[in-house]
Amino acid sequence: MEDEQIIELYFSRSEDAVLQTSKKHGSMCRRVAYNILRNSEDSEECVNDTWLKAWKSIPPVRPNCLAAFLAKITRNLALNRWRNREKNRGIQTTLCLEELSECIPDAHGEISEDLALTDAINRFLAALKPDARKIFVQRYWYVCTVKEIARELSISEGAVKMRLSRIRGELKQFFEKEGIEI
Amino acid sequence: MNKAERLFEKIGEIDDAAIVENIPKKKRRLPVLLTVGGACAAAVLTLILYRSSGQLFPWEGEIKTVQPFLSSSDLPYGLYERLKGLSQEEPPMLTAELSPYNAGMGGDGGTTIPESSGPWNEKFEIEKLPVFYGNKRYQMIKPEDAVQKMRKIADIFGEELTDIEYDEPNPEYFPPEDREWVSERCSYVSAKAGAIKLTVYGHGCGGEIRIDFPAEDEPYSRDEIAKLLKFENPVCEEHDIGFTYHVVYEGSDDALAAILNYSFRCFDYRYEKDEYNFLMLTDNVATLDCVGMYPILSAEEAKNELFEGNYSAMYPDVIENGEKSTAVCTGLFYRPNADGEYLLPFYSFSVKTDRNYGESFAACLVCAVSPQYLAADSDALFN
Repeated sequence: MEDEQIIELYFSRSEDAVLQTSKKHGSMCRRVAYNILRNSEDSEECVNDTWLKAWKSIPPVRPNCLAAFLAKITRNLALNRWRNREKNRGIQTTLCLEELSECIPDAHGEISEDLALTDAINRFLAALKPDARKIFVQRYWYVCTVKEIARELSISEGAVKMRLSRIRGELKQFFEKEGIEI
Repeated sequence: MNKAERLFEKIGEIDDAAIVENIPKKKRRLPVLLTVGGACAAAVLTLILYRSSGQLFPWEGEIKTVQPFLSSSDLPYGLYERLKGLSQEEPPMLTAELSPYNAGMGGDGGTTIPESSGPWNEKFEIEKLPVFYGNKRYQMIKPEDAVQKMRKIADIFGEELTDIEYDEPNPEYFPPEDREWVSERCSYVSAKAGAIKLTVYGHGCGGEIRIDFPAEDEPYSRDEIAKLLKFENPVCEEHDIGFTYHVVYEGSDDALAAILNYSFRCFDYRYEKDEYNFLMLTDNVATLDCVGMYPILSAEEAKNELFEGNYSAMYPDVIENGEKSTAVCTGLFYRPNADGEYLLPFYSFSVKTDRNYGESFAACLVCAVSPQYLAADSDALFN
C-alpha cells in the first residue's frame, strides 16, 4: 500500500492504518531501534511506542514522508530508552557518541540554537559525495556497525573507518568555519 | 546531555531525503528466528486449543460479560489480545507473549510465518469464538454532535470555541452503499478553547475526546485541568509505557459524564520532556456483552467465502482482479460488523491484485462466524 493511502487511513481513523504501517515500515523501524538498543525486546517495545505515537499524531500531522517520520520517532524513542538504561547500554551507540565527540569544535561563544545546528548538519551532508553521505548517515543516524556498512558498500572495514574519520574531521572544520557551538 | 549526545540528537533531525535515501539494506533473516516465532505461536495455540475445547483456564470464571480493553493503542493487536478480556481477573502471564509479532498476526511475523504454520491453520482448528455486543467505538460522529460536545467542554474552561476544523472521511474508501452515510459524518473535529485544543475523533474512536494543553502555562497544568474536569483523584497507579507517563482517572456522574454521554475513563499522557500534554477521554471501559460462543469457519472455508465475493475490502472488486493463488490468510482479528454494534472475529487475507494502483496487495476481510448465523446478503450483520 502506498504511504499516501496509509496516511489517509490514519485520517479516517481506521485501525488498518497501524496494521499497514507495521507491515510496510515495521522492519525498518525495528532495525532503527535495534541498532541503538541492541536488544530485541526493548526494540519491539520501542516500535510499538512508535505506532502509538504515530496514531496519536496523525492527524493532525500529515507527514510528507511517512518512512522518515516513523524512523525519526523510533530513533528518538530508542535514544531516550538508551539514555535511561543504567546497564547494558548498546555499545554501538556509545561508540558513535565517542566518535562524534571528535567533531565538537572548541568552545568560543554561545551555544548555537537547535535549528541552526540541524541546518548546518544538513548543509554539510548535502555537500558530501553520495558514498560519504551514506557512510555518515548509516553510522550516525542508523547506528550501523562499521562491518555492516563495509558489507553494504563492498569495501573493507578499514576503509570505512578511515572515511568516517575523515568525514568527522571535515565536520569539525565545517562547524568551526560556520561558527557553530554545540 | 553532553555535547556529543546533543550532536547525535540533532543528526537525528536531518532532512527526510537523507534518511530515506540511505536506509541500510535489509539483513537476511535467519531461519532460527522463524523457529522461535513458531515456538511462541505454538505455545499460544496450545492455550487457544485448550480454551476452545470448552475448558476454562484456571484464572477464568464463568463467561457472561467481558471488558475487552479497546484503547486505540491496542488496535493493531488481534484476536489474542482481545482474549485477554475474557478474564475478569489479572491477565494470565503468558499473554505478555501474545503479540502480533510472535503469533504471526501482523508486522514482519505476519508476512514471514507461512500460512501452513499460522495459528489460523486447520490443524490448530479453533471451533468457537465469542461474539460481543454493545460496541460503540466504531461509530462515526456527526460534526454537529462533536461541536456540541466541545462547546460544553469549552464552557467548563470558561472559553469560547474558535477555529473549528472538520476532517471528513473520503467516501471513496467506503463501499458504495455506505458513501452517502459516510458523507454526513466526520473523521474528527478540532477547535480551540483559549490555549487549549480540543479534538473529537469519530470513526475508530467512538467519540474519543482529546484535550491538548500547553505543557508549562498556568492555569493549564495537567493537575489544574484535571481539577476543572473533576478528576481530582487518580484511581490507577501512575506508570509509564515506554516514555509515556500514564495516569488513569475514572469518570464520575458529574457534568462531564453527562456531556460525553458515556461512562468514561480518562487517560493522561505526558511525553518525556513535556513535548506536549494531553488528556484522552474515552469510553473504553464500557462493558460489552458476550452474546455467546459461535462456530467459526476454518481459514480454508473463509478463503472459499472470499472467492465467492463474501468479503469486505477498502476497494471494491479486488477479487475480480486478484490472483487466487496469492490469497494468504494473514490474521484473525476482532472487528465491528457493518452496523458497528457487534464485535466479531474476522479473517484477513492478503490478495495480490492489479486493482487501482498496478500490482499490489489488498487486504480483504471475511467474517469468521459461520454464515448461518449472519443475516443474508449483509456485511457481517449479525442475525
